Amino acid sequence: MLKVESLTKKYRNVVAVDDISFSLNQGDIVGLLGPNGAGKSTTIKTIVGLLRKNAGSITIGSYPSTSQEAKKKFTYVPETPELYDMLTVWEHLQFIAYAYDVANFAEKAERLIERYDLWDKKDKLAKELSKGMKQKVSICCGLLPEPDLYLFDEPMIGLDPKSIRETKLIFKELSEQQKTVLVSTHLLDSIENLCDRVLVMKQGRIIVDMTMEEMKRKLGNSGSVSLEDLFLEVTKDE
Amino acid sequence: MNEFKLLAKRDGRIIVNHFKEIRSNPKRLGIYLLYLVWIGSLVFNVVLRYRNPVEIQAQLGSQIIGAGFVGVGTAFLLYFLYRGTLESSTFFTMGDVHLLFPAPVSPQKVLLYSMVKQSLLHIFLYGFLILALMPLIMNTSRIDLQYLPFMYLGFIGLFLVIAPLNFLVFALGSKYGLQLRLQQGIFALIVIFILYLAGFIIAAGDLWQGLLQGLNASWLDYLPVIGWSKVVFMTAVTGYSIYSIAGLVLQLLFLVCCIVISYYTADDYYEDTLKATEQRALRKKQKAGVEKAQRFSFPFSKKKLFVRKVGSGPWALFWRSKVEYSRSDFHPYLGFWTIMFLLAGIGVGVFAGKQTDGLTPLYIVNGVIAYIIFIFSASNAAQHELTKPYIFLIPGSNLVKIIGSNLTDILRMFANILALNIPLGILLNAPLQIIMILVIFDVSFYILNLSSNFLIRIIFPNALDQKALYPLFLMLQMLLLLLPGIIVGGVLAFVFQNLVLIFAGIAAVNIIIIGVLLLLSNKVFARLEWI
Repeated sequence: MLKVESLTKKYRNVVAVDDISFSLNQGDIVGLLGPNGAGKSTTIKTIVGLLRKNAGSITIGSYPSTSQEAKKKFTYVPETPELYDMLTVWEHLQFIAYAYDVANFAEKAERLIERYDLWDKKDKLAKELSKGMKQKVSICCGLLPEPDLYLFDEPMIGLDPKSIRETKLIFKELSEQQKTVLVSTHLLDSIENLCDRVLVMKQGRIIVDMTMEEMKRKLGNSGSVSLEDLFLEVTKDE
Repeated sequence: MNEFKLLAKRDGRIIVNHFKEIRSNPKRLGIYLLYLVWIGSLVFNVVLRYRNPVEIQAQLGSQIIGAGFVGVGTAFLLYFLYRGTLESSTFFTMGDVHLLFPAPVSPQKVLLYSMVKQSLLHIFLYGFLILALMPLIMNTSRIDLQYLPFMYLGFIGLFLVIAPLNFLVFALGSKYGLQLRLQQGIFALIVIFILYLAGFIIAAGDLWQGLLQGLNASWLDYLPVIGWSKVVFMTAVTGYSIYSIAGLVLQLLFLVCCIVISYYTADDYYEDTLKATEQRALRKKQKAGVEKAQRFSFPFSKKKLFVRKVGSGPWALFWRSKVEYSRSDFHPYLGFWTIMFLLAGIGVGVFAGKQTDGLTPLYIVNGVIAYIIFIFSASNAAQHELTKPYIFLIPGSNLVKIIGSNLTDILRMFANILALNIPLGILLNAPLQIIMILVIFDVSFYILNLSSNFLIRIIFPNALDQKALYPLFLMLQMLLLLLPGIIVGGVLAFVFQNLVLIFAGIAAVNIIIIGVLLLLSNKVFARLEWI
């Protein structure tokens, strides 16, 4: 579904993403982990096409990631929810539905805003919403088109416990529907039981790309070890 | 859905929501009415000037306007062309970046729609600017009102091409690696322009005469953008000719060409516009008082810094601002503006010293500076301090918190005013006590506004309301804060006919008002909320 080959992204002379390669198959739920400044957000933004790659290739369902065909196959939920101040919650979903040509949009949108407790806020302007509410709207906008690939950058920051649980449930449902999800997060316990595989980035490089079981086996730990322990182990400075 | 239809629908909803918001919050209508009053006063001024035309040599007036247009316009154009080699202009919001850019819509169509939309918006917005400039133009020359639309179109014609041209320069520069070449070309144009003017000044043997001749040379009318706009703009001053229409058509064609070339070359521009879009969003927040406005300072970034402790409790706020200034400038109290004020003091002193023997220039400069300081300090650092929680959380006296958060700004302003007045005073042979009275006079206007900011925050806690009601605040501040000083100054002027006493009187009244405001702020501090 997603194939990243030898991707490099530089900001002037700083190499933010350094020759990374990975691929996601249909139905994969993959966690993109790493300390601050590891290059996770840059990687996702480059896949989305917000940033220009310096080298390498990114294909989504065999199309170049910036092509219109590829863009129909994915949605993106950014780290900071930036919405249109003067559009209401409902109008945001309407706008996304028009942009992605979503069929039966009203029904799907209603279901989503109910799941995220936004029903009473649906006629509120985005500028009147709290940061957490905006994040919920942003997630709903990402979920509405029901694409094959979902790219989430820190989706749970600012969410209340119920919404975090709802998001986790949605991830599970997406997995059951054979959708592909790449999720970058620091809330390791929230994705621990959801991800089939984790990619750990450090200083722009992928230092770990394996399943949870492989990781545990490699580190020689028992079943009781958490994702947090594994993360701290692999990212600790030599 | 078709991209243009999608974007038009979105903008249609945004416009409808603006109207709905006004309906649900009629307070905003008051603000728009204030703007209407302002526009009305501009129109009234224009009518007044038209009915009472100034007696000015017709040719000289038109030369001044033509030279002003070409001089300022060329400087603007070259500046934005140069900026285009460093960063792109933007037509987008952060909402576009996160919702529209990742969507399956054509980036080229999004760009085309956004460029045209911004151009249409600017046609309307720059109209206010020309309206505001009209009294100045009519003070300089007679204009034919029937050709006012030409003046308007010539003026906006210049501004409309700037953003697409800037975008195009950046797009071409980054796409074909031409940034350096473009920069060299722009520098060459600047050098040619300066040499061209220098030639005229030397030939005329007089600065102003040379500038007037150089900037009004007829061949300039054939230059793209600046020349064509000038021909259209000057129609109302010099009269209509076939060139007026030709200039208008050429300018329009140029704009269309810029947009069309941008459309065909910019297929991968999202990253290019990110920085400018983020900065635009930041400026919006700064205007609303949510983010701190960036000060103009030297681009230093001292990593290692030691700033001595200045006290505990609320004095930590004073220490914090000292650290910030130390990092961005070469000294916590001295900076870029100190040098500018010093240069201005020396420049005016040398120039005025040759023209007059009295102290009148010293009084005029300080009067103007006090007015500018008052206007520009109406929303200041203290506003920003209130958007952070520390001023509320740090234990200590409220009065010290207010003083602590403003002290560095006040000391810096004090240093700037000293830098202006000491060389100016020395060059004009002014006694030291007069210089000190004028320094206190200027700084008192600065503190006056800083001390009133806390009260404004109590009356209108919402940052957006504060932004929207800014003109109203300015009027209120002018009335309530300036009036007492002006009355006392007027009385002193009438009784003693002594300029120094007027300045001293106004400064004394200002200091009394500052004291009252500080005591009031101290009282109301407990009612402040951190939003």
